[in-house]
Amino acid sequence: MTGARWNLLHTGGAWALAAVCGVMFSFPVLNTVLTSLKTAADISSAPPKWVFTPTFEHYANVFYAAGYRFSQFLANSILISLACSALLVVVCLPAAYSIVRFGIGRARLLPAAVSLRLLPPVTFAVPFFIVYSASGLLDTRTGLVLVNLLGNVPLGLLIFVSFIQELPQELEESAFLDGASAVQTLWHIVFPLAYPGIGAVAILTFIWTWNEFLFALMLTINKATTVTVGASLFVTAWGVLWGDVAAAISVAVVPTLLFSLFVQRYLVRGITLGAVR
Amino acid sequence: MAQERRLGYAFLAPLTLLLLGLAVFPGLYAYYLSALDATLETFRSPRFTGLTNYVRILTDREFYDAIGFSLRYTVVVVTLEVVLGLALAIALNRELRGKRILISLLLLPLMVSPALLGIMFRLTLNEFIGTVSYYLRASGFPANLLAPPYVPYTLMVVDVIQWTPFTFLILYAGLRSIPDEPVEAAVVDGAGGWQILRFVILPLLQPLLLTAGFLRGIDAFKTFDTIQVLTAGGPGSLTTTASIYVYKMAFLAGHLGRANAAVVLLLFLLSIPMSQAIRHILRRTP
Repeated sequence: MTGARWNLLHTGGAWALAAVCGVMFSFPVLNTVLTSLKTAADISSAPPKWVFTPTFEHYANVFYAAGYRFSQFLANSILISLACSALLVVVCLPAAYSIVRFGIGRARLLPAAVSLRLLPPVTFAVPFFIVYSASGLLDTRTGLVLVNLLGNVPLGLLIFVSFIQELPQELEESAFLDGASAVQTLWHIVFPLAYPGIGAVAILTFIWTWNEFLFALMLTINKATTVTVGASLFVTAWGVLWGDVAAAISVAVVPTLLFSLFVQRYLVRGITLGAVR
Repeated sequence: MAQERRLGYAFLAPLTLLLLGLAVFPGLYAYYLSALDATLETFRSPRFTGLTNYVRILTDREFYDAIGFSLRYTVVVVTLEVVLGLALAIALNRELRGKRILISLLLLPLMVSPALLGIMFRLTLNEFIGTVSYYLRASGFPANLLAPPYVPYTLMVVDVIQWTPFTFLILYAGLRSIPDEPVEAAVVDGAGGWQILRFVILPLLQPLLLTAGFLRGIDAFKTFDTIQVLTAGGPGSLTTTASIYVYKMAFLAGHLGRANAAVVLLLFLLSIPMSQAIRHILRRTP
């Protein structure tokens, strides 16, 4: 780590810049959570109230009021995201192992995965809509799991590749010399060592799937709607009830914010496709 | 060895099948669709119309407006995000009081779904109940930042708030991995802060600046979520990005085939930056 000698900013200036940006970046989340805890009268009061008696009525509304189907949206998101992260690990981990240890697939599959990350999602919008309409996958959770698998392959594959590359090869070699088959080696040696990588990929995939909006909007009608789309429906359908809207969004962001605490270390690698460690 | 190869192919089979079914087939189908007159009503029995869809898109003013808006948006937000991300990385590359909390606050938007962040801004900037709107009005500024002429700039600020954490994270990791020696040598030679930044730090960070710029540039060009939630591309088509144009063409106007002609044209536009980015990223991936 470099010392402070070359730093352009004095410590005070550095602190001020970081603090101002930190407040600005987190203000929308803070404001939404505060709004969700205010009564309707407090929400529309001018000037805005920063100290108030909190109420949980909006949360009760979101879950129990007639006409909202928020609990169903939440269940959809949980099921879709869990299924997607589990399947992604199952598909990508062996593939990454093969790429690193056997060198098979490095030439074509890896670049293909990277280019997939860069393609605009709208490329796939109409084809998926038509295929799903014809095959009965429209508005199903299975359909959303499949499309999100596609979206998360680049991230999963690249994290696994860079992770397996750092595992010591000696253990695998000695297991192999002791007569273990390659499958046994993968299962008993690589798999346990790769737990942190698997956790990171699973959590990041969960978050990305939870947050996905374009396909969840286009490929659902009402049965498989996720919270991310469901929360935006709140605005158009019940636009005046800002307290309920704020409560719905707060519930919808909590899981991703909690999970993100676990993966900060892997965040850089994940979002830069392994270009930075 | 033969056994190893067979096992390798077996390990790759699920991923290959997944990519063939979910990427290659829909991708080729997208090209085919761009030559059909498919609409939301007729997509089960479309007719082949050759290049008609391309002619309709290339003579549609709104298509050029959407690309123009996406380009301007991309240039502005990428510039701001790289500069601000670098400034924050420099600011935090030292011991600071409350550094962990500051970093957590700075990274918060990265984990919030762009669509949900968009709704949060609808709440925060709402003309009547938005807290920010209230203080703007109280200080004599225009209160409704979600209306023209301010709305395009508001959208850019939202993008900067969401994605500066991304550039910050990359550049911060880069700064921390810079070795001490070249910096110390420059200090010994009597270089000032700006000179060290210009001649030592920036050259060492260049690959990461490019990575951050490429990824953000391509992603910013295809922005959909936040803008769809905040303005749906409006009022009129003032804030319609390339992605929102395709979405409106397909699912609001119902011209599925024509929307795909627009997709093919966009891919053509993006092909050069994308191939550059892939080359650059793969060079740095082990």
